[in-house]
Amino acid sequence: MERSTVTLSRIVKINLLLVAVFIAVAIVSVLIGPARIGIIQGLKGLLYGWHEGYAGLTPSEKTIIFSIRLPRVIFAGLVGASLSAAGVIFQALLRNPLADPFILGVSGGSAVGAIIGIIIGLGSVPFGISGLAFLGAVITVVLVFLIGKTNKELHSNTLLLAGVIVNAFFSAIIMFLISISTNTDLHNITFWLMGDLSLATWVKILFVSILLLFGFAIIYSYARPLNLIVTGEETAMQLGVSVERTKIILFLAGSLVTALAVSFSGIIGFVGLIIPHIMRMLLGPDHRLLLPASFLFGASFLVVADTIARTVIPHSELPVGVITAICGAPYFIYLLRRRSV
Amino acid sequence: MAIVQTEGVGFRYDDEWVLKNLSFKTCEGEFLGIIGPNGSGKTTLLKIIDGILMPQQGSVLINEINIRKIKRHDIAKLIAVVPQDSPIIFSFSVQEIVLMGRAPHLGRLRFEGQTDFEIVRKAMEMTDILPFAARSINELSGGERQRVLIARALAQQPQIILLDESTAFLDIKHQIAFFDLIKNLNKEEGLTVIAVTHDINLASLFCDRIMLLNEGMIHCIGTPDEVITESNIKEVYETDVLVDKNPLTGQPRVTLLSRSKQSVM
Repeated sequence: MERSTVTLSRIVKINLLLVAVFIAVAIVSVLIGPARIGIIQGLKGLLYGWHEGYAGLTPSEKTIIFSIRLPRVIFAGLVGASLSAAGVIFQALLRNPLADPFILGVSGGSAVGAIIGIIIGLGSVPFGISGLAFLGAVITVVLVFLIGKTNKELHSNTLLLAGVIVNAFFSAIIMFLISISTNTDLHNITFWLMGDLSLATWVKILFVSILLLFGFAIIYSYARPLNLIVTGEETAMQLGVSVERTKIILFLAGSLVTALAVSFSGIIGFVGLIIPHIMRMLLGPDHRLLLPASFLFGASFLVVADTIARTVIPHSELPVGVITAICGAPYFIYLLRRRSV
Repeated sequence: MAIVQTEGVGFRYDDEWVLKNLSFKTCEGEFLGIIGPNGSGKTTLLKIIDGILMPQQGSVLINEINIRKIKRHDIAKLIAVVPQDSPIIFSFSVQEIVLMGRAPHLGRLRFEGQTDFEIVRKAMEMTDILPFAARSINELSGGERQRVLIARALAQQPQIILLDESTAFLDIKHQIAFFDLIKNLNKEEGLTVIAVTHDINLASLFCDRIMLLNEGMIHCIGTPDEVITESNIKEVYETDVLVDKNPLTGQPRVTLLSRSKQSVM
């Protein structure tokens, strides 16, 4: 397959297109839901409804749009963007196309934190469950980092093994916690484990977006070194990259971004695995284009998935992870088969 | 002025010293060959010259500056390496790989400009890979991929180029074409070349001086005539060979002898 080399103007053009796609997807998603709001009315409402005196929407419609659907859509976008960008990082860093943001155990640690939060009844405390989940994720990152770091070097294989072991350990703890929890807790735990975007609030959005943009800015400033590292660590050194420092920075930034997404939304699988692959196939492996494109397309993808999750069965809601996996797994098989032929 | 100089370099991976008290100098514009048996420390020495490995003893000077004091991306502006072959998992295009040679000059953030594309085009032209510039690196044959790595090193515009068995997998046409190209850059532009190779005849043909390594020490270093002798080869490689003169160039020429065929002579 031939494609043109990445230039600044190509990056800008493609990403503007992807921003437009995201905005379109977001608007459609805000207008879809059990409570019917007319298209024209809804669009006008989105534009002018912020003003106190706007009369085009009833108070309950206003609440539905601005306090429920819009934050949820934006939050889904943030989470999708985080997971996709983190997926790109870990696939490149570990030079393993099967890597995803959860491969180093961040999800497991986060889940243990969240489940403990649910069991001890922190559900009503603001940031209670997410806070514990984030703490769990951070502890895991430190743990994996310390295990994976030998002789001041971060070895991909050691890191991968450390991640697998830590994940297995946390799975055991999760099973144990589930086996001793009550029925009501069980429902919440299940939803958390499969990914839940229904608890979005503007405060969370603000918190997550600030940290996410911070993390992504760091990641993006290492896009070229990442290209070189993908072609081999020794080659990257020969081409002037301080490989160990770059790997540590990217490992930490990628983990932070993953931890953010997971602790506020639960474990939403497949996004961080599939979006990087799709974008790499369409746009090539250059991270200067791949990173922002995955970030934006991942956002659109999760908004669509979440909209399907909350509307496909009337008066009920599916965990979004169910949708991403149902769409994702067959598509992934298709990609694998197509490549081998 | 010595462009590369090592002073009493000693290096070990674990307990065993791979290089022992190794000192030599290379002048600017020299074509130096490094030969020696497997495990004699050739590749390790190249990695130490490039600052990828740091010796536990002694020091390496590049342009008379200790390599420990030179930043990684500044080393990459001075020294390029053509490795044997390295698998690349994601399908970068040929041009993208060669453009990576510009990385040390561009830093982390700057985009490639017109001059960079021009340099890259020239490097691809010299290595005869322009026809497949847009193809994926993974679709190429081993020999074609090797020429891409050579082009990347040329795009780096280094003062010193290190060749680590760079032509081991090339057919004779591309082997000679590659060494002719490097020799030309060496003569015309004063590029310093340090080439590790198993092919003693190739070394004899192209190198100004040859270093013969044995068990991490310099067995001898000098012109091809001085180094490539039957006794030196016998001592280091423990193999009987016939050394005579290349009838066209007058350089020493090694002919391998097989024990099973010796009775014929």
